[in-house]
Amino acid sequence: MFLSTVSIAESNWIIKNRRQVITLLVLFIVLLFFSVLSIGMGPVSIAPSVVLKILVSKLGLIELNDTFSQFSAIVFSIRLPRIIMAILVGATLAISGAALQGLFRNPLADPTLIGVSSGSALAAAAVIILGGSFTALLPNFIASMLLPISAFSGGLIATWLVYIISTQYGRTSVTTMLLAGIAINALAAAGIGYLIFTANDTQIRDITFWTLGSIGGSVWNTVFKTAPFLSLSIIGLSLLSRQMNLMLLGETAAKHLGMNTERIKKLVILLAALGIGTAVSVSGIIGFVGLVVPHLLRLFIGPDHRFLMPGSILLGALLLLSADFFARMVAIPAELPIGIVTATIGAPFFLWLLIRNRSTAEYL
Amino acid sequence: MIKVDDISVKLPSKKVLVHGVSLIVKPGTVTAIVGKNGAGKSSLLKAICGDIKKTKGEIYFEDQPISNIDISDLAKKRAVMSQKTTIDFSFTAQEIVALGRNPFWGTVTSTEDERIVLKCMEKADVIHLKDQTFTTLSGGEQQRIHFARALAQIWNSVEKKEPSYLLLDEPLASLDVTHQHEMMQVLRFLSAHQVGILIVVHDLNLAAQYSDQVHILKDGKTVVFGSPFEVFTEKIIAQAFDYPVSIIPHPKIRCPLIIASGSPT
Repeated sequence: MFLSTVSIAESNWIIKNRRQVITLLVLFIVLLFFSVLSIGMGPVSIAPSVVLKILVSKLGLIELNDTFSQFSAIVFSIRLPRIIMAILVGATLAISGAALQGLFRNPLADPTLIGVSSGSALAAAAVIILGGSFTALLPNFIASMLLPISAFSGGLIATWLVYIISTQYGRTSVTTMLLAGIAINALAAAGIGYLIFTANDTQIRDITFWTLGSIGGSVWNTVFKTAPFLSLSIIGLSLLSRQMNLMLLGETAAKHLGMNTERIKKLVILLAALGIGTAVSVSGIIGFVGLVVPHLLRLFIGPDHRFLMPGSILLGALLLLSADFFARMVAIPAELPIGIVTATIGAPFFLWLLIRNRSTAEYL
Repeated sequence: MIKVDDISVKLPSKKVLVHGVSLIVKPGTVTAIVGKNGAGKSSLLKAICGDIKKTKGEIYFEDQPISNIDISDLAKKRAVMSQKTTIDFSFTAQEIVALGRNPFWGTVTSTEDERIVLKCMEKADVIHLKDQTFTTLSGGEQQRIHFARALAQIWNSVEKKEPSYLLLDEPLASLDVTHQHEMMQVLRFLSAHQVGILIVVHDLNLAAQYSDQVHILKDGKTVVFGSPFEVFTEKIIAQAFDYPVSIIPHPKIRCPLIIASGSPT
């Protein structure tokens, strides 16, 4: 009796939200499909069916014949870590973008536009250039974590600054938010400029990599080091979906609806900065994913964060996977930095948003 | 009951917004706060619901200092409808109203939530807007949707006739005359279901017609507190608003009728 009422309520819920549920399912299937396809693509191309066989063989279910085992090494040591990194970084950037937009109650808040990414990149650049002598003194484990930790701190400081500058009495001024972002971006660029001035050639190449963005350096070691933080940020932010919906009403209204706004705000800033900082430390500045993905999703499934957050994870992963695919394939055997690809898509998208909404000043 | 005991609100700039005001909101009554622009009506309401800090006095919610009560418990018994709530995201009207069910999240079924949301949208006369995008609606329609959201928040208590509270800051501001009266009638319906209502209004006749108690403020201080017949006298109103009025008995219902007349004194 009890069970049947619950399942009726659930099936009603699915029918009512079928558009959202179907969109999420389709995204999930396309992501799986494209991941397999993407593993197969590269200087050595491997058929999707072979990729599947190789992946399944790892589970011990089937035996590989000799012709396939040479591909197995390519799949496992080169392609798979990179694909996993693309999925995690894309998901993190997109869901952090959605979360920041909820926090600022503004659909234009993007980690790159408001300076969070460049704050992280400045901190990362400082570690690369100034950290050399310093890290030698630290225990191995901490030394290897210094880069993500400082990128996280840089992102945290930038987010916090933009938030306190642009928000008064629980209301965020869009103009101030974007202008504060410009200032922080400029400051970070100046900081990176100073660092480059003192750097040697290898360091300059490293820094350039940071500012253009790439996931080409991904090996299992990077995946293991960053996946826990990226996953924490992704899962943590998705669990705040209901609270993010309330935040859109404004802080006082959310408080009257029983939400501890101060705690939620701090959590969102911490988790978003953790995600973006870690992503920047491993892949540099990959812009506009956090802007484009939630926007496109809102067009299809509306602003409800209970669908928007999981949707951002899937579409963010898909977008970065495609951008990486393009970056790898367009100039074989050379690789395009992936940040260039996302900016090429994202910046015109941003302009389009501005043009579309300039009369109403509503952004979605 | 909500008991406001001698509260003051002073800005850091030493400007006094509310000066030693006391009042009581009992379940089952409608209390109106009226006064000139800048008399401190909204500041008083905001101080009572905790949006701005009081600098003196105490507020008791059912005999407990309000600051001792967990905000999630408070939200189950008290809804607040603020003056301006802007939203930049394209929620539907029904989704906005459903946010009012948040305090009961996980304790009632989604079917029950939806029944209450639709019921409250009917009460606020916005049921026909339920699938429309909130941001595309007029100011008055948005106002009524926020009203429905506040109703949805306390509706469990309303149906059980258990004490609950509704605080409204100028909810009638952008409504047409029909909807103004309809909203006041819903407030009367709520008060018959054990809701204690505190409302900031501008229209003195709406206050006279629908409230049990009227609190007149001037310069942050209480001028007078009492039933409509007690407080709506020509002398008191002229003093509180610095403007002469005539007051006659309402021709159709038992309440005073206030008519602004002539030039300022």
